[in-house]
Amino acid sequence: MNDWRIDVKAELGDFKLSVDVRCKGRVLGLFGPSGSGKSTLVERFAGVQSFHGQIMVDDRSVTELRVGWVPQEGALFPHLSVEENIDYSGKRGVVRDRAIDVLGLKGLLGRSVKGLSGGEIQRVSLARALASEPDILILDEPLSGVDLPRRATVFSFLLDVLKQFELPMVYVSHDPAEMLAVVDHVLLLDDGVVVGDGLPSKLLSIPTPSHWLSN
Amino acid sequence: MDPLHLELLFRTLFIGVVSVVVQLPFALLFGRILARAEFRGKAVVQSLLVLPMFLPPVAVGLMLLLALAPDGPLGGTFSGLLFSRNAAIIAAAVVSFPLMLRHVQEGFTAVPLRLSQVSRSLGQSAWMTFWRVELPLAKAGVTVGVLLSFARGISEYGATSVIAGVIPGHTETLATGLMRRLNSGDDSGAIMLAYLSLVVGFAAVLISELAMKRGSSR
Repeated sequence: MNDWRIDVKAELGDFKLSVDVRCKGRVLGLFGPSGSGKSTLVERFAGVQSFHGQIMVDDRSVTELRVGWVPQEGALFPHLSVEENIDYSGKRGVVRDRAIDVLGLKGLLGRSVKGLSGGEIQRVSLARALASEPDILILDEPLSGVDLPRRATVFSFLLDVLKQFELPMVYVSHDPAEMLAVVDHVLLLDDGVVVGDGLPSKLLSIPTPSHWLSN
Repeated sequence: MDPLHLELLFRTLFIGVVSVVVQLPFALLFGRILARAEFRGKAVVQSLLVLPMFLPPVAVGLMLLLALAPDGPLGGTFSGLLFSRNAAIIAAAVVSFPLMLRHVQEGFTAVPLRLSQVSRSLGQSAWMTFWRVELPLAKAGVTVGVLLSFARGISEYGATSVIAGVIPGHTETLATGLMRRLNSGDDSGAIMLAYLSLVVGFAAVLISELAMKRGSSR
């Protein structure tokens, strides 16, 4: 996939963010400690919080794009089954079928979402976002709600999704190892300010400030 | 059972059901707004909407009478409603509305904002999000609100007697009929109506308790 550009000039809660980045590769990482503005930015990106300013992806406003959003906690609709969650956007095309296949959800479709493990919740949430046939996908700390023993499994599903779906993606995390394995280009955020921008291997090999890792 | 008592029972149930149907859209609208929106004067709006619960019902009836009287602010269009079955419905609806509103509002407050946000991000309109996510998840609160409001509506006496009167065979309800029988010395009739009120009221409150329990166990 070609490079893509993200241009943010927006007031985000307590701070103003001005970023103009050409992402070299498909997956842009937002890396920073809790409270650095990562989630604030992606919520505006996903269109669920109003803000002053604009967010452009290439030459289109993000409001014109369909943004697939996988929030930290998965946020499945508890009154719907797994399949009803995945089909919530109303699109039941090949992308939806491929998402179910890649994420290994065929056996879960008829189940209630109550009783799903943290990893299963994230996989269903990801399938739901993919099934909506987004122009861009946002993954907000997709492993944070998954218990440690299941992280490797969910992570391998994530890598399969990254390989099989040719979409620009924004991947949010405060785990440098996760970032190094997933993203092509990284933005370092701290207290609402971009403090670094470039290749993850270059930026994340430096010692990570201890307060970034404590959360 | 005396056919007159049965007629009173059915009229009271009819008034209770229609008053709930009349209130429900308003309770959903205001309950949703008060649960989610932040705006200047919200506390004043909230207080005004629940005020009838904290006023003597006769005072509520008097306010309605002044409003609906031929020379009142609503009199031109609605003065024909006074001393009719519709007036009993209005009285029951106004007095029991705060109870419904409180439970409906609590129901919407308990729906995580994140789920509404996800629904919007998946391309659903605010209306579809309300219909597909918020209302189903607030269902227990709405059900309890409807049942308690119904129970309060069918036992309404003060405001009903002021704006609907106690006209046997026309506007008389279980509560107003009971009082009329007591005043006229028909003790056995009054006791019978008291039993009927007790059974209907207990059934409504019991069902609402079960709905509340079911809602909290989810």
